[in-house]
Amino acid sequence: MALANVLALRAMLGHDLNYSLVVALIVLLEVTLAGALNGAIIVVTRVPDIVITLATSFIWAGLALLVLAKPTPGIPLDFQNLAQGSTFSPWVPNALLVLLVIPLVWIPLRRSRAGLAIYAVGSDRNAAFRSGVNLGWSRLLAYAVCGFFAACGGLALSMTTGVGTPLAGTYYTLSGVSAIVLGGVSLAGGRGGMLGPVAAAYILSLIPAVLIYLGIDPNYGQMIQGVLIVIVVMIGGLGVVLRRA
Amino acid sequence: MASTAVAEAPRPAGFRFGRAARRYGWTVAVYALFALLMVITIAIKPDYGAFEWNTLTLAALPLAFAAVAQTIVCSAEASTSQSAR
Repeated sequence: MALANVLALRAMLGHDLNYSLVVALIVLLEVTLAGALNGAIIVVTRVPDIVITLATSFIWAGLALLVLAKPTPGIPLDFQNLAQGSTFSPWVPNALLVLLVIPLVWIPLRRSRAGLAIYAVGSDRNAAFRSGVNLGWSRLLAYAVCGFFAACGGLALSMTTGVGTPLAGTYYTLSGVSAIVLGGVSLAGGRGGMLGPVAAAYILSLIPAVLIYLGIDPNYGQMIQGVLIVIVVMIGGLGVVLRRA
Repeated sequence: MASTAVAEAPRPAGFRFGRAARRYGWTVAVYALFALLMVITIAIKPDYGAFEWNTLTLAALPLAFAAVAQTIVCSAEASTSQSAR
């Protein structure tokens, strides 16, 4: 995500909207390929996914710092305006329209054979294998789609802030985990949609604002996120215990 | 002795509340929590308007993409040990 953000800034600096859109497409492609590469390493080496993902995240973070050493503004205003402001109605911000990329990609994928295979692999790898699902390709596709959405996130960050931030990955990795846990995505695989995490992203973004309105230090938001994760995981665990009883 | 075969009644194809609650209950609860937080926010700040909603959407946009990116990987990767290749 941070890599997409800084690559976009570096390439868009001083250019117009058309050039920026071409850059955005190239960045999307690059980061999708980076995600696919991550998946390919996991599938080929059979090293646990968390290890490879953590290792490659350090590589991408280092690369982002090489591309841009410090937060730098310079995203063209026309490109920022794709997400900022409201074209149709004050209550329908452009950012909400950008968010439509998620269902536009997710719904066809989820209903396709490949999307079904991704969930089948996460739900029960042995059953998926016996049903003829190509596990390697399904997992690789999942990582490629992950790369695509991470690139969208990086570009969205460019649009919303106008700044290239090489260290953005740290915050969004942790907050992303909070959002998926709160959004009802099973960390054990095979369950979860896009609606829950999107609502959770709104909730997690709203908490610091509420704290500011209350006159409380917004840094308490981080603590509230942590408490929320603990509560949600406990509720999830309680649900599993009750189902077994 | 005559055997009695009891034919199972076909299940109704309509809306099944229990199944829907199991599948979508959490998502509905998350949206309800969001709605509740919005109500609280408006109660704290009565002049909450389009500008604040716009700012909230801008803040949530990158995080929403990051969360969806992680969702797809979590969907495909089971944390339990599975052996099939």
